[in-house]
Amino acid sequence: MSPAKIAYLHLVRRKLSSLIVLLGITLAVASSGVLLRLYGLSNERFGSLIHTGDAIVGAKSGALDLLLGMLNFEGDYPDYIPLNLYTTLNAQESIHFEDRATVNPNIVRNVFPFVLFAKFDKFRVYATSKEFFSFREQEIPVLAEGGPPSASGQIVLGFSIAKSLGLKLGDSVPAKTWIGGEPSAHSEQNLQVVGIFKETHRAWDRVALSGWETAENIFNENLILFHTPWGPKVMNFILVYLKQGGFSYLDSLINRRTVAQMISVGSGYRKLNELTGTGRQMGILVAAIILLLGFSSVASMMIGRFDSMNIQLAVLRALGYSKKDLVKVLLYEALYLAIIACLLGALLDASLFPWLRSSLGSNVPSEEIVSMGIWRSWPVWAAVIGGNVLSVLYPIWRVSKQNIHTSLRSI
Amino acid sequence: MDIELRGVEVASLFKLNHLFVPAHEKVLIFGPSGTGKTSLLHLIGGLWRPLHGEILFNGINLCGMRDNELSHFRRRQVGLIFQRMNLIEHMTCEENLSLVSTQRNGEYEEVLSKVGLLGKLKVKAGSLSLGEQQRLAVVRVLLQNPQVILADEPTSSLDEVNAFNVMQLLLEASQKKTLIMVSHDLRLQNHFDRCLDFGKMIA
Repeated sequence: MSPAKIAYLHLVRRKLSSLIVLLGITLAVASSGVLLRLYGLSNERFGSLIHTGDAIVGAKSGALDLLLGMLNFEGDYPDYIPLNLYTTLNAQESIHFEDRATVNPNIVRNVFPFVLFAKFDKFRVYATSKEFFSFREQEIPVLAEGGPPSASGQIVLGFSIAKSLGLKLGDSVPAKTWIGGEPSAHSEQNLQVVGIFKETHRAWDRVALSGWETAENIFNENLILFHTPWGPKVMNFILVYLKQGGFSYLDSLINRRTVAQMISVGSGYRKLNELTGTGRQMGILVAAIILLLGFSSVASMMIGRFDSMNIQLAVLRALGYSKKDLVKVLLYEALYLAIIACLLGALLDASLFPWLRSSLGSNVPSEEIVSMGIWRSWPVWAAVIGGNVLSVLYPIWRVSKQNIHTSLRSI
Repeated sequence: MDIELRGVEVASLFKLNHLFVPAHEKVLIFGPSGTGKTSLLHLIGGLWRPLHGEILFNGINLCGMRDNELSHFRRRQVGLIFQRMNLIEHMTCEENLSLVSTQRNGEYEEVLSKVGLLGKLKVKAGSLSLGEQQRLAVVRVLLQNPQVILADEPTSSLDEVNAFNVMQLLLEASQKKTLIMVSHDLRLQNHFDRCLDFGKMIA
């Protein structure tokens, strides 16, 4: 009989103890896998967050919502702000208020409006000004092929969209209108791919950008759906590049005298890191502790099982099984446990994770932003299989030192 | 297979100057408890190594073999029957037999029927009576078909009827083989070619 079968029989004939240990490891695999994937989600958010601009302007909704909405293109549909604000900032015109205060925003270096207006597959389509496509700054995407949109209905794709959907220049993409609420299945338009960005490894890779006139046309076609004081002359965000010392000046203008909110990109980053950093570290620590508990239970079980197997192993040696065969029996037993636990744990992980993810809401990036597949739990599986194998080292050492004569005499 | 022990010494237990058992001989070793009879069988079976001396099977010294070689040798040449715990209790009779043999179910049933264990193929060894377990252990040695059978008081835990049955079976199994058996029971000596008093053999 092969060592693999001996190990299998030992496992299945000691159902209760095997099941208890299996349950322990399975729960350790599932919970560590879920925690690891949540940790991965937080990391992915930080990994894809775009590091550019000095300030972001958007509807009053909190610094983190603005930061994640503009620089990670995530969250619910963002509220509108008036397009006039962009026009004024861009033209650097003086602004006169009712209290006779006058502000001249000449502290602005560059401003780019962004408005979300459609979605295809799981990807968002934003419109921006045509200057953006020729703007050269840190982490601003550069065209790999094609050119910027020159007419309504044209888009430039992020690298990941083109790659995952296999799109190329000239292809037509059916996009659902999205101007608030849920994307509308009734209002679809075909957008033509005229350019593809180079890979940035940032959120740019998963958005499509069009010229402003595309969004304007869609807004005008759907006027009935608009309930803003500014009609279709709206946008969601402005990405602002400032001159030295310009932040406090613009901050007092926008945050105190307009319906919009402006945040500093740098302080937004710090805030996000402070809020999620500790949680992420704790998460990985808890995952490690759970795994360690799983290992220690397997190790103690294997030691306990070895003690109960002492005579059985001596009988096998007497029947001509070598030490090598017995080491194989122990290894197979540990491997069977690890593999079954990994399979069951992965199933549990796969069913728990979506529920947990939706429970956490906007605390973690949504499925459409970061797809965190079950395979991302592989380090847990590898650790469990490796840990189980390591846990039989002590029993293996005992086998190598076993005196068959003494073991059989003790019967 | 000839078996020869030369100058075998076991720490603080005994020293055996010389023992020769020619091929196909059946030897009964008797003597008081605690003198080292079981240890002698374990030495001959390669389950234990002496401090000094040689244990030769057809001139090949077991003491010079590495652990794996010894296991391989034991698997092919030596069948062991203990007083009890011969079997892996959580395995069925069939599985216990397949530890040493790769025959098919039909063949196992045939050999089990000869020892009154027909229908017990799928029964766990731990559920068998002591007598049945010993018979199964003998059947396993029969299937292993070794040149040498070493038996350590295989009938001591059994009642008279079972002891007789197991002894008959063991003698049948050891035809044309070397059998060395340790026992207190001198009534068995008629079945053996030679009986040795272990107390007189050792120093």
